[in-house]
Amino acid sequence: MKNRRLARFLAIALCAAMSVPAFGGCSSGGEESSSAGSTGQSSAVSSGSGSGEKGDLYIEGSEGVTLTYWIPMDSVQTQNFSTLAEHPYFQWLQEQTGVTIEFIHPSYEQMDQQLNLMIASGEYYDMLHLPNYPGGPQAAIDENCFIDLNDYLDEYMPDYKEALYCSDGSFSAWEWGAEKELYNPQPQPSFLDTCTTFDGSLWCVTQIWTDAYLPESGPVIRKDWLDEAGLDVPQTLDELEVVLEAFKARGEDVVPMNLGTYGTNGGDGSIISAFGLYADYFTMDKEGTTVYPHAYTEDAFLDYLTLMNDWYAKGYIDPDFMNRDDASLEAMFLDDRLGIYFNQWTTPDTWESRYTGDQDFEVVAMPLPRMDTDQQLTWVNGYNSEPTNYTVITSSCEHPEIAAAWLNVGFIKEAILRHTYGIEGEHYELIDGVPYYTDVVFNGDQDYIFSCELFPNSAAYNSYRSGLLRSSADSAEVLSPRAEALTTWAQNASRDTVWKYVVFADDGWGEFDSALNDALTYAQPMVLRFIIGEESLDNFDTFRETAKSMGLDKAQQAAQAALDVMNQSAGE
Amino acid sequence: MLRRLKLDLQRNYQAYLMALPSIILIFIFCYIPMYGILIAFEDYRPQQGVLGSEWVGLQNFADFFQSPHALKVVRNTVFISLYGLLVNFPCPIILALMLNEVRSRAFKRTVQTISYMPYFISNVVICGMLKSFLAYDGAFNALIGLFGIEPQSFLSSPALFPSVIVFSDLWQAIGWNSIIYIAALTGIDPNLYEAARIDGCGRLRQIWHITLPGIVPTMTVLLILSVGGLLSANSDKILLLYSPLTYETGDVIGTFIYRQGLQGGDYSYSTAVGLFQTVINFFLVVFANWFSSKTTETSLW
Repeated sequence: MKNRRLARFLAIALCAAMSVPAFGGCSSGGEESSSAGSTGQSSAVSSGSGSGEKGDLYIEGSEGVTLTYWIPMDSVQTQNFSTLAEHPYFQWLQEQTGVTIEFIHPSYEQMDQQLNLMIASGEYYDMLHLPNYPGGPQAAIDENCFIDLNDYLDEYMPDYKEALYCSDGSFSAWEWGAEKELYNPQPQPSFLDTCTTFDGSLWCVTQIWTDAYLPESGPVIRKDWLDEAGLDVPQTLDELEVVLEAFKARGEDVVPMNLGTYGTNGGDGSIISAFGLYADYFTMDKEGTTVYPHAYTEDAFLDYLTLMNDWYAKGYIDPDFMNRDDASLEAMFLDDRLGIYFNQWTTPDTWESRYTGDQDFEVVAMPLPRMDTDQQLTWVNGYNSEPTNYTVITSSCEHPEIAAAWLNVGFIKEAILRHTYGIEGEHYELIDGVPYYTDVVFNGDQDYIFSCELFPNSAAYNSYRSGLLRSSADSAEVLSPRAEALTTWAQNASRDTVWKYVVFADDGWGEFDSALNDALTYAQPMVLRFIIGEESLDNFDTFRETAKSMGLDKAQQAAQAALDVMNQSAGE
Repeated sequence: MLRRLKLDLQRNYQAYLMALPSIILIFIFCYIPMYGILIAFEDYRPQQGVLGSEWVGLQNFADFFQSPHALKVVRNTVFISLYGLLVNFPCPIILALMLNEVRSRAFKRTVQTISYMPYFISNVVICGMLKSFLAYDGAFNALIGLFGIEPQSFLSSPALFPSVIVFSDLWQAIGWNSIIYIAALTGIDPNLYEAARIDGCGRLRQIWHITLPGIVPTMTVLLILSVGGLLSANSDKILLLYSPLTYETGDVIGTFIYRQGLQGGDYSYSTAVGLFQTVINFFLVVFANWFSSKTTETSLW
């Protein structure tokens, strides 16, 4: 009798226990989805406002105001802080502005999911960092999530306004000292267009740099192999061919150069840019009125394919190029099996520090090859004026003017010094009024310093100069190794190229995307076959016609139509 | 019928109680979200929600089938799935049968453990390894070079690509899939073997007449279930291993709509194609079940 009762109890208890995981699973995402305004799991820093003197950065009306800020932490920060309220920069900011910030930290993978939850509930945190709003910024404004910052720009964000409109580099002029001649920074075009939606709303506070970043990727070449062959760093395609032949002669298992998996060298456009083409996106003319036909349909592309086919047959190109990934290419390069590594992101000094082999490993940055030394390469550029690391203010914010003023602080010189250069005397010193990093930064753990002591990657002014001077103590007289590589890769890059983003209305994007995908599903394999010789180059015209009819024409038309609409409404 | 159910409930309530959590789980996570199928027939925008988005009927399906590549993509999917079924279905059975004949328990255990270890390695790691092994200058080509075979570019050849997918799947899952058969084999009455031996059956005949029929129910169930995945060929591995050169045979439904719909965040499109796949799979399962009940008298329901 007793045993039966026990057995029965156990049976029921077992069922209950088994059902617990089912319901436990429901709440896994619940930790950070509390609605706006309620105290989340993060702590609010106790307000220090009102005590002592109010500095220049003090924001009027900030007493008792708490703003919620939804922002992910990077990996170094998560290791050192449980919330950004512990970050020295934000503590300093709190003291200076008097505004209390309550941080909510999603992980990067959770962001889209959490944003969708917020959209579904209609309640948002006051400020959102990097929200990937489905439908884009225009939809976000129309659907009452983001607010139009134009209403606050003049009165509360004068410094952000100045940075936003700047297209001549004047905003950052104060940063440069004697080294300006050496580095010769060019101005970055204004960010205004990309931060403005179709109907003219300013939708975000974005990270802004006013000096143009040089391209951060490009080819590197084995200098010691060049020396052994008695050759100089190749500048033109002809010189490059000579070098490839010499590298090929080094041995069976040596691959002279790599090629991108789609038959072109992606980002930096090595080699194909010498033919005046860019294969990754549609391109348009400088005025931004006409969309050019896709690179695959141009005559110059046949010339490119002919050259690549020739080099592949001669064994200059990696036979397995269509299947290589970055990890194997790196391994090949460090294993003395690759002579020229195209479209990679590491500077020569870092390569040299990672090498462990026996050879006299010496690497230099190679300028992008051109037809002749005077050619200006059009489609090679650094970073476009597109919102990155942006923060938006939402419609749920009850003090948008305070939020606007708070975000504006990131563009004020005093705060710029603090978040980019650090604490005077510790991280930097002023020489003739210009900041230079000290040994604390040069010798310290830069990953930690630039994540957990400084905060240079927020929705605030971003200093191009800071990145260059971070790696060299002799910054006023000699280019840092990194700057040397970057300037080499930017050699002969036309300064005329601007990036413009075409915004599609409604389902114009769907049409464009599916037409392009249909065309590329046919075209990309064909390009590879042309290069490896499986398809005869005589069939190029057939290829061109088929690709156009499969969707390249349609995609180009869709892009043109969208561009026309954009230009029309901009003109109104 | 209701009376019979009530009676059954009263007498076997423990069994029903044990099944209850699973039933609740499936109901909440599989049946309730079914209304999401509506997304396939709408131009879905998350803000407008499922009920508020614009109705477009069969437009999303039309978009998929109007693509010049749709037929080829479906063909590739079916081919890779059938090929995979042909290879991956019998092999775990053969492995289980072979292990069943082994006397040494230690040997049996070792082989089992080693054979199902690859199952626990993530697809990403496996694909990284495969890319390295199957490269033109990689280990596999070196191996077949010893036999005088020309080095092949496995990952760039449309002819060889499906085999790469299928056989790497085999290597990964053979051990794991054989577990259920090994378990089923232990359920066969040893007296049957005795009787067969007395009647003069050799090893092979014993397997044919006793072992195989003993696991036919398990085989049938697993086969029907595998058929249910026919149109959903293993996209993640293909996505990691394919390249434009292998689109011809390697581009499956999953990878095609990944390139097409996902970048634009086109939920409706991906849902529509997913729905198409599921509906076909469903009919295949029903058909397979009916066929099996007619021929072998075993079926899932």
